[in-house]
Amino acid sequence: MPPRALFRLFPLAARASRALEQRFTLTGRLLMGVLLSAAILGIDIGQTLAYQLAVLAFSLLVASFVLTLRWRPRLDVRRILPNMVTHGVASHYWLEITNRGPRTESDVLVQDTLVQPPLSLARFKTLRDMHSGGDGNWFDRAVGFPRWVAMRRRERGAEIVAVTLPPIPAGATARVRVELSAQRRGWLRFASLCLMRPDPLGLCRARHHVALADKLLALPRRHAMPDIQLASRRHYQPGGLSLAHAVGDSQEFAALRAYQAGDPRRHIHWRSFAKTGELIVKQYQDEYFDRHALIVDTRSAAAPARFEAVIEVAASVLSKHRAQDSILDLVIAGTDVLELHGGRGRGDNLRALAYLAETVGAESDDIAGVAALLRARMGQLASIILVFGHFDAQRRALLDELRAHGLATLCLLVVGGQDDAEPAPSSLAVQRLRTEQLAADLAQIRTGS
Amino acid sequence: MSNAREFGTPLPPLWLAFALLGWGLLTDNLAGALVMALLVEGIRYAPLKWALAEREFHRAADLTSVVFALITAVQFSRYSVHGIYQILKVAPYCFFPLVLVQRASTAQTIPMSALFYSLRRQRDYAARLDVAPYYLAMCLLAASTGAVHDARYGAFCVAIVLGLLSAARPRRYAWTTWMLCLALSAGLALLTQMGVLRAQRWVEDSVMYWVNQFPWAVNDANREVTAIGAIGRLKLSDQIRLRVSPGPEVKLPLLLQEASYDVFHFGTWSAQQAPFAALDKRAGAAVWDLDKVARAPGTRLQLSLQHRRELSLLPAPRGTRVVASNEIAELQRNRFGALMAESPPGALSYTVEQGPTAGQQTPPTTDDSAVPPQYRALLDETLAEVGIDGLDAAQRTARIRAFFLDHFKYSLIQPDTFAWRTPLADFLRNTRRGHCEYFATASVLLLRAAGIPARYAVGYMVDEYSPLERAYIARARHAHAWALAFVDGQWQVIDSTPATWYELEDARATDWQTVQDLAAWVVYRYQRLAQANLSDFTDQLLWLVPPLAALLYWRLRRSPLAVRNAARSAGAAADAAPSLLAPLLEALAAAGQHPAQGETVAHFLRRAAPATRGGVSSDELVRLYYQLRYGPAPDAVRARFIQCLIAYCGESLA
Repeated sequence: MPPRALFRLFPLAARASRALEQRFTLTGRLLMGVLLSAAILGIDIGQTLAYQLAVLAFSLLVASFVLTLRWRPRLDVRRILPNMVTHGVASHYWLEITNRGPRTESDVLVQDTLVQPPLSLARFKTLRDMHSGGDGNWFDRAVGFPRWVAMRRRERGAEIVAVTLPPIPAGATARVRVELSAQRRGWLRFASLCLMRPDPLGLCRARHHVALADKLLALPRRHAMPDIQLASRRHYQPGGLSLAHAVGDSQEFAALRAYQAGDPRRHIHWRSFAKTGELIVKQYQDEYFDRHALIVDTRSAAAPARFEAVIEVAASVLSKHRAQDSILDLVIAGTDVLELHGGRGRGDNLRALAYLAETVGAESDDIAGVAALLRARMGQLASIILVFGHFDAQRRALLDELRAHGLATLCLLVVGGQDDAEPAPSSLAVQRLRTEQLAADLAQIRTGS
Repeated sequence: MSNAREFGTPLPPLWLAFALLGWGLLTDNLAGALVMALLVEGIRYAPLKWALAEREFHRAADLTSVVFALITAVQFSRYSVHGIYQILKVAPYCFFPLVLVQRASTAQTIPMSALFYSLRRQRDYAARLDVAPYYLAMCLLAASTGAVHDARYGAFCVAIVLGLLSAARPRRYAWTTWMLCLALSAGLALLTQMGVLRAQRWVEDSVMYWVNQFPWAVNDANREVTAIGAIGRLKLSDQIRLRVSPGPEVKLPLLLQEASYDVFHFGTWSAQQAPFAALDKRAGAAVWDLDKVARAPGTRLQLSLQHRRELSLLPAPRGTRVVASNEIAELQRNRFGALMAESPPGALSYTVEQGPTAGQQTPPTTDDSAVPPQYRALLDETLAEVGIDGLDAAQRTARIRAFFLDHFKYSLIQPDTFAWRTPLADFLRNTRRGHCEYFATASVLLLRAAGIPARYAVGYMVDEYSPLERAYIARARHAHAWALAFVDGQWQVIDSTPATWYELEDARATDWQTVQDLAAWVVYRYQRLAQANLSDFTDQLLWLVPPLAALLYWRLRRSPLAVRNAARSAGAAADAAPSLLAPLLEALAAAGQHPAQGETVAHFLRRAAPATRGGVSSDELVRLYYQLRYGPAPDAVRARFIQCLIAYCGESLA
């Protein structure tokens, strides 16, 4: 773990590295390496002639740098973003550039940038278990800089590839495709664009920043998993749902009746109101169909990798749900319980995934809120899918209670990360998913109730 | 910045071969460079390439690392810290396997994991690198270790860098603009070069003066900066500098002189007007006669000097008449009799033949009798105390030596001195203790004040026998200074330092000395072995190269990984189903044409690509593409698609 003083130097090093990458072309950086090597080796001009090479490289770089000091391009840029992207899935968007200047612009490189949230030392330590692949390197273990860079990239949200614009004649507009790969779920916030053009020698680049704020939602990563065979136990559900003709004892329009206090306003039949001047409401036939609940336990803030895995498992389960067949209540059990209905016209899975994308971890272990909610809904539910990142007496008691009530339950427990000494819930049918092999474990779960 | 265009710095055709040949020419490695240039460019344009996996790249990188480590170890053991230039000089040999493997591969790049061992454990790290530009830069740096006064190096650098810049020239600028910028850079380079040379001169004039004050500094034939006036304890190392195998007639302790000086000024002895002149070698033998007059054979000494520079002062006993060594390329001598030998850094073995006389040294000049005016009063006062009136030159010399031996003590510790007293005055009047430089300097000045021409001499005193080495040795702390007095028509050694100095110095030996000696002995034995046999051995190994190369070529040709270029292009296209038209799509992307979101390939090609090119219509290409892409197609369709793609894309595909 780096000492605090060293940690403070990380942003400086990252900024310098970024400026170096943007300011110099690959040839320029090669020449800079040659300059440094030749300057060191040629310090004694009586031993080698390397100083001549150093002088040549130095002069070329200085001349190039001077030639890039002033550049004011007249380029208008517009981002064309998709509705949303998915964490871990390569995606793209478009940039539309209009040349308002008097001459053709070519060899211009565009680097889109996202807002970089600050990364404190405390958060760096918390996120340590999320960073994979860096623990084998002694430099990373001792200093931590490569891990810090990877974490910042993840916090930023996406890796955006710089693109070279095609030649754009004066007054013309070009559209370029920008590759983007989201590295986390949640909002990706675009800050600005950096336009760069090389100097005549091709060693340095002039930079011009264009402030252009936007945001794009990245949905949680989903994994392949078998179809979920949820128990079917149809219960009486209140009416008023659309798309009811699809499956089962669909609710249908039954009759019109006079409005009574407490009737929902969306049941008002406006055409009759227009004819009669009286408030008339539509009366529906109540019906029976399956209703399930997906409980997402967000108590995992202390182990971010496990919490992310919980969200990914929940997103994968949501993706498997066929919205026409049944209602799936997504219950996000954090400090406050959030309930979201999906299926049978009450909202689609995409909406639920968007909520999952924005879910943050809860500090508290308490699941009393969600337990109370489930007790109230038990009579309407056919089955419950619980996704836990943590298993304790409270959760065991809840599971026992649900089972005692005769509810079919599918309990998925995410384990691994730093705290692998999870007590094995041996007496209960709880399926363990390891964070390190989440995709593989999820593909093999037993989904029959 | 990950951009497809920035994947690697483009090199002009044959530029790597040019760089290799330039390096070979400037560093006398032309034969090796020629072979490497032919291989590296030949394999690039050869019809055969090898579909190498990451494992093969890793092996090539490991081989490179092992070769580099071995060469580093050998060069450092032979040349000490100066070995860094020797390593740099042969670096293109070390890293050649890597660039050759890259050029022979179908990928034409190497994975980063080949260069960084830690990345090999990261399965998802797929970055690759074109090492050719870096290898070219290494050739440029390696060529700088050639002859220092070679004007061709500058021209070579300019040519290589110009080629690089022209290949990477941004297309938005005209050639005239590019050349104008180059001219601006050239002017700047000229000014910078002048500044560097001036700065270097300044450094040599001022900073090096202070650097030379370190006691471990190598002796200079033209100047000797003494530690007179330095406060505190003098620290000299236990490092073995000389190994001496004296004959039975040689008396010990033995003084081996490196250089002598005639002018003293502010603590520095210098040799005025003493340029070195090369001595003639005896015909057919590596023997130099210092005294042309034929005399009876004298006593012989076998010496071995540990030195770090190609030009080094040769310690030799007084009266040396003949020097013999196969390892000395050239032997020079100045008018004070100092010998300068040119030989590779490391251990230099040589034999000297010593006669009974003082040897060939020039008679005294006025500089050998000059007394600095600021010391005149001090010296007269001291001479009055010594009492030399009425004595002849030999007696005066003996009296002055006896004065120091009787009234002075040897000490490596100097107390703080007051600013208004010179260190020498403090030594003669007050402290009466100091190290050999005090004694030698004071003796020389007193002798001169007494009317006897004298010089200041430096070298080593040999009196320690090493059972491990089976020879007498002189360590760095055995470095010594003494006076030379011109008495009775010849230069005589006047060593006025009390004889206890040697014991006092030895008492300061560190506890690690035995270990250091053992390590020094191992290194010395290795150096001798390497110098004696290695060059012959490597010459013999060269005969193995042609049959081994032929065997390697035969094996590579028959390797299942070998792929012909045409098959490579087609195979790459056909194997990766989503990128069947990748070469064409990339060419269109480079021209600024991109498919719109959701646009089919057929629609995009009809819109953006030429209807007919190379005798092939884009419609036919699309038809064949769909046949291959979406269904099992016979080999004839596949072959036809490849032919059409090559014809349509032309050179851009190759």
